[in-house]
Amino acid sequence: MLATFKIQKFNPETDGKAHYRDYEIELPERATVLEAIIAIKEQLDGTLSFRCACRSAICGSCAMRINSCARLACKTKVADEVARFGTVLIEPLQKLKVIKDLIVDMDPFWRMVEKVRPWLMPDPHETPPERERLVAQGTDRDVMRDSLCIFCACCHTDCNVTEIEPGFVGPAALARGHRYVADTRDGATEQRIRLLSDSHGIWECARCFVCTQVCPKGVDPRESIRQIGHLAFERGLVSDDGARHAQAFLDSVKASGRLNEATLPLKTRGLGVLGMTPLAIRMFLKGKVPFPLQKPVPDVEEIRKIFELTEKKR
Amino acid sequence: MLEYDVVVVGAGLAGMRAAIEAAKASKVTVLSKVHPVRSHSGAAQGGINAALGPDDSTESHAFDTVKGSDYLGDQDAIEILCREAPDDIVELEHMGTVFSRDANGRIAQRPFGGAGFPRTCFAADITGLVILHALYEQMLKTGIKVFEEWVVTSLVVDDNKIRGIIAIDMRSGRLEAIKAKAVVLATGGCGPVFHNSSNALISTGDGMSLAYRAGAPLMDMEFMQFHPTTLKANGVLITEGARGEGGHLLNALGERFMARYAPQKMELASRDVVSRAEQTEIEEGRGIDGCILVDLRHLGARKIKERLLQIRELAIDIAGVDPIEEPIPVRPGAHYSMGGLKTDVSGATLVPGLFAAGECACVSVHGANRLGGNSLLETIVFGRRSGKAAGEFAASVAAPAFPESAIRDADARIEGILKRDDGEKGYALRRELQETTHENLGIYRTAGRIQRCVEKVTEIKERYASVIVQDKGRIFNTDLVSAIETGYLIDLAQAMAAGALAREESRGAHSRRDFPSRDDDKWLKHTLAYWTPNGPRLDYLDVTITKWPPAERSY
Ligand SMILES: Cc1cc2nc3c(=O)[nH]c(=O)nc-3n(C[C@H](O)[C@H](O)[C@H](O)COP(=O)(O)OP(=O)(O)OC[C@H]3O[C@@H](n4cnc5c(N)ncnc54)[C@H](O)[C@@H]3O)c2cc1C
Repeated sequence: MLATFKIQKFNPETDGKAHYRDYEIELPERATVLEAIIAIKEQLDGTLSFRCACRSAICGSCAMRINSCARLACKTKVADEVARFGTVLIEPLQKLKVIKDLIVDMDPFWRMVEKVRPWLMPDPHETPPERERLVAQGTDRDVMRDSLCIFCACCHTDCNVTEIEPGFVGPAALARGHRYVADTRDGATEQRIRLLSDSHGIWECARCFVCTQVCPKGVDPRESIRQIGHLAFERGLVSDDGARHAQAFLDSVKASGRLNEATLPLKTRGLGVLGMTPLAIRMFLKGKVPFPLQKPVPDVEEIRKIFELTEKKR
Repeated sequence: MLEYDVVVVGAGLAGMRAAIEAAKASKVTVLSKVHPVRSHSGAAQGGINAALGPDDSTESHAFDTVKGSDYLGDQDAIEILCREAPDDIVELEHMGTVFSRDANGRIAQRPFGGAGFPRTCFAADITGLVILHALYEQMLKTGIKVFEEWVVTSLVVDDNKIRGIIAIDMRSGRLEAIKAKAVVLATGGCGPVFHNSSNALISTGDGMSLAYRAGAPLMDMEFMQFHPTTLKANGVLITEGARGEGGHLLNALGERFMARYAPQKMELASRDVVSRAEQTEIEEGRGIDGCILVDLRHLGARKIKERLLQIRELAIDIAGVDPIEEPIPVRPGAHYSMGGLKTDVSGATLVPGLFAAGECACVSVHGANRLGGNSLLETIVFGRRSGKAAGEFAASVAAPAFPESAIRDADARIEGILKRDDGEKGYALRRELQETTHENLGIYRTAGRIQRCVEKVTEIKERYASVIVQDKGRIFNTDLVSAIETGYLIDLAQAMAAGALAREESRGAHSRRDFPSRDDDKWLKHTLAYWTPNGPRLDYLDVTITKWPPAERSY
């Protein structure tokens, strides 16, 4: 199969800014994008620079943007990309500084992972057993799922929130945080939930599911974030604006079947909402402030029943 | 200049375990050419052995290992490995490693090849990944400094003592020196000496080669393990756990052909036995397109999805086969180097202050054939022991003088490659090397073929002297690093071929068609290879036998 590639190049020693270069190369039918760029490097352009190691989607080195989506090059088939897009566009992961070609500075990502204190913190009062700690079969399903993460940063760099809020610790770090929250051997659950639901934690998640969608390993960070949120509510650790926002959302729908966008900011931010006055005035002048008094939807009783049923089901 | 008591080169399981231990008493740092979690230990799927169950014994684990090694393993080292295994597993568990559990909530254990008892602890089929993460997280917790993406290019040895290392910091492209009282090499395997190995592209035997050139001998390099189940397209591994969970091997006629080769153990005979059986089936025309089949269908979708999740994905992605519905075509592939730097049971090489652990070392616990699940164990047990010994060594010596000329020499070597315009690219040389080892140094060997390999490798080495790269820059020059790595592979191939040619017997993974049986009278001994400008000089060393006199080996 003859395939064409458009690859973003940047050599810090000679280039002022990044540019694209086209390549055309003959490949076996089942070639992966990694095999393709290795062939390009060996045959056409020895300067083409990227990271790679295991070739089997377990080391997380070869994450890059392939046709505008963060993916592992070793797990992406050239033929599939060509069938969908005609060509293969390859760029470095977004939001991280490019060092050279497809190699980005991963340090900011690692610092986020470190923030969640990713190591076991057993209860300090417990005397460790002589043998292994017991873990009932089946209770570690979430821990296993979170453990599949290979820190490729696909989710982190394609996340819609890290786009506008660089302080957000991001889905990969939160999933790793959850791995320890869910671990029955850990003794710092409360401390962890506080940490993870702090500012720049779970409540900054916009619930867009991009992380879960781009994860090459089936980790489902959004589900891990949801579970931490749930535990935060159960334990009443809900002082963060984000938690209050979620609560206000729920209360509004429960009460009227509608989302009352006019009272939402007040309930979320309390008196802090005063700081938003200039924005409110500008919105008012553009006719964008919603009317605060809303009639419930006609079948609001039905909606309340849904709430009752779901609460019972828990 | 940076200065440490102990410098650990490599951040796979062996390196990180060594660093954690050494840090208890000394100033330690770790260098790795990739971020620690990218190390190839993370690709280990099947599990790690320890006699944990009340009905199992460390003695029985040791015997299985001795027998698996075809009696070439040093029995004192094997006894240490097996005796210390249970405590090390418990320690990993206490650190936070996730393990699959049995009905009582204890660490579950699956049967593995060559073992008389189900003693392989695992986490589904991501065992290496979860241990790698647990150790990395312990490193974060303890605050051990890691120089990530620093590629070590020289060991500085002066007056037969280790003085430190020199590395390229990929990000700046600069050469940096670190002065050290002790150095622990934990740079992993060298699968890419062969075509389509199961190893990572980064497993290029750097530490083995660097120490070999610096005067430390390699041991038993002719023993390369061919794993029975690797994917045809690129050598990626299908874990032995697939057979441990009950998978069958079938030939083109649909027969479970292992009945002819290992009637008792069948698919769970030692790897050398199974790989030879497969190769024979393929050569005698009962293969399918150069492969045989591993059939998991009877295990059922649930078990496959729960315990063999990763290999199912790999089979689908790489071979286009879903093992729930179809058998997977596989063939034997280069997988693990039993050989490595000769060390004692504390990881000390023959150069004072230089230690080695993990796959780059040869203690020797695997002898002529490693049992599945024993290598991860080795990284932990001997990683820990070498970290401790390196710390103690560092405490006993004064800070060494670091010869300044070493940096200039290293820089001149690199400049030499960068400036050269006339010569051959390393990639082509590497491919030729892999072709000749694949053809002539594979599962079955003969004097004629090995001789051809020796000559070809010598020729490649001569051509390598004028290797060129296209990338002339300094920052993140992966073109340059690859060319340097090819040089390591060539040196190791020479040692392998020389050892293989000399060893006129068949033992474990080394099968000579012209000398088909084991010859304990002449060859119950380790091969040592010393670097010389004219190729390896061989020497021999007795095998340590404590309890188990060599006996016939059948499965
Ligand atoms: C696919 C696969 C599956 C396996 N499954 C199992 C299993 O189930 N059970 C089992 O017991 N064994 C298994 N093995 C074998 C086992 O995984 C390896 O032998 C073991 O993990 C090697 O660990 P290590 O720490 O020695 O090296 P590695 O984990 O390979 O680490 C090497 C380290 O050295 C660094 N390094 C190398 N060169 C340099 C340099 N020049 N400068 C700086 N740093 C350098 C690398 O960056 C890396 O951090 C498997 C092997 C493979 C390939």
